[in-house]
Amino acid sequence: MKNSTKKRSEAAEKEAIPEGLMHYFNQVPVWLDRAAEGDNIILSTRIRLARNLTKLPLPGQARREQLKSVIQKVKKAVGEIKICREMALFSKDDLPPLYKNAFVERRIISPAFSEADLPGLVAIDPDEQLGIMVNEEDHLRIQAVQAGLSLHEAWRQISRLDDELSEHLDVAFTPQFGYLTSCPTNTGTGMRASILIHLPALSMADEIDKTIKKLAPNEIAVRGFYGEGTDVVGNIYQISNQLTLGRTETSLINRLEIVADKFSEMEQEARQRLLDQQKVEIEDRIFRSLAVMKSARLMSSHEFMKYISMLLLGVDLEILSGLNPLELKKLMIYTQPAHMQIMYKSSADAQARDILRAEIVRQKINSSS
Amino acid sequence: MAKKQRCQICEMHSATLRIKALKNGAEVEMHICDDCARFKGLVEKGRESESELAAFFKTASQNILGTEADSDNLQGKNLSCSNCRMPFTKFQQDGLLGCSQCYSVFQYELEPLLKRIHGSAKHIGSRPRPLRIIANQPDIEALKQELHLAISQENFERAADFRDLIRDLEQEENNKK
Repeated sequence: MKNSTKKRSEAAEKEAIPEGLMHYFNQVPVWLDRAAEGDNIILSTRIRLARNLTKLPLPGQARREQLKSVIQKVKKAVGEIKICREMALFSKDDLPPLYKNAFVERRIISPAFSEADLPGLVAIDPDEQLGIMVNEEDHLRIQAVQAGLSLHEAWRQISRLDDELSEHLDVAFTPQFGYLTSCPTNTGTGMRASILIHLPALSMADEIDKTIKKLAPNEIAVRGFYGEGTDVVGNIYQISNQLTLGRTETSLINRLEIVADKFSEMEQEARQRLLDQQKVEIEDRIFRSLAVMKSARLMSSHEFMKYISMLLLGVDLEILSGLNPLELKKLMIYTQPAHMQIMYKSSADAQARDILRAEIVRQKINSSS
Repeated sequence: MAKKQRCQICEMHSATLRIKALKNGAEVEMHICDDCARFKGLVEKGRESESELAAFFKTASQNILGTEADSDNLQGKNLSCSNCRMPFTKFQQDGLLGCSQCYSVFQYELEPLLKRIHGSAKHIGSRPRPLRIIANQPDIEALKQELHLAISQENFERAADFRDLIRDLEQEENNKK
């Protein structure tokens, strides 16, 4: 690309950024910020509800103008609901692709929503704890995110929003099937409660598959970092309820909480076993990771996640001192590809990004350890 | 879990394709995922890999509704939704319903499928707030049936859920009297 053309397109992109959007990138999400106070095993909790409007075809079957009418109805409802007053609304058409990717990285929207070429809307509260996606697989996907293991608080928050929305919208529901969703795997409660859990010791001991089989029968799903269809990175897993019909929300949440606690307990035990039986080996892995983070000149995001997982483990095991776990978690957000392009103006070229990522990591780690 | 090569564009998904591209006049090899390939226009329609969900549904619907050869006998085969016009065969392909009305039109086809997926085809969770005021009559008899079913299947954790729920509801009813 010629320089003049590049400058023009950069300027066009700058102009096209919707108002209020940068607020989200200039802050650390509250759910991550508060996580620093708790343990570093269960990182966050999320509950999402799938809801649809009666009569109108669902996003997979609807025409564009019908989906636009869903957006209008939701906008009107959100405008009338007190707890939504501070939410920022972004039309999907107005979001540049880079910012959509960054929203995926922040877990505000799903990869599927970002990629689908359908009219859509995102509503997010200033803290990033409550959000609404309009026209994902369902007309509405509403979510509440909390730090650490906080399923009941997330449920309280999301039910409040759900109650308000159902006062203003005709939500598709029958006493027989419950909330009617696009996919029958969500029918009933329409609820997917999930936690993000960091399990380095179980992974190192090669006990993940065994633990999953033991703790997560059919009703619990174990997935990758960004949810369905994505890989596990940095030993971080997403654990969620699989079933949605024939059970109450509270019983699904309670079951997930038990499984999450159990995973956490087994991770603690695996960590203790590592300390008791393989202290030098684990110290070696952690210090080697630290050395790479302090010196590398090229670092892919996958490699970064591998080492950051070891540093978090080192902090938890008190093998490393001086590193602040919140700063490490912030790096996890800001070294993702779209965030680097937005915050550090890195180019879209993967190698240039890897060079810059290594530089950011070096600076951060060297200045704090 | 086996380590896979990651997509060099999005860095999020596993790479499924190896492509050759020209970069500064030199040929470079890149590993990319299906999604990025599709967005870059590199995958022809029909070559896209089947989604996890569609694959699941293919198996689930085949298991519950018979094999493809048997599907000629399916009641729902020629059904279409009167509201959104979606034929049942489309649901069998991609596993997604067309509108909320589809649940009534395809009720008999969906019930066994829901039972297979969730172990139940009866909702016992929360209701939209407006409905709670006018129709919040929990069906205790239906819950008792579910309880017996869970016991007969020796699913005691599930039975305990129903037992607790029935007990709570009966207590609530008694308090009202």
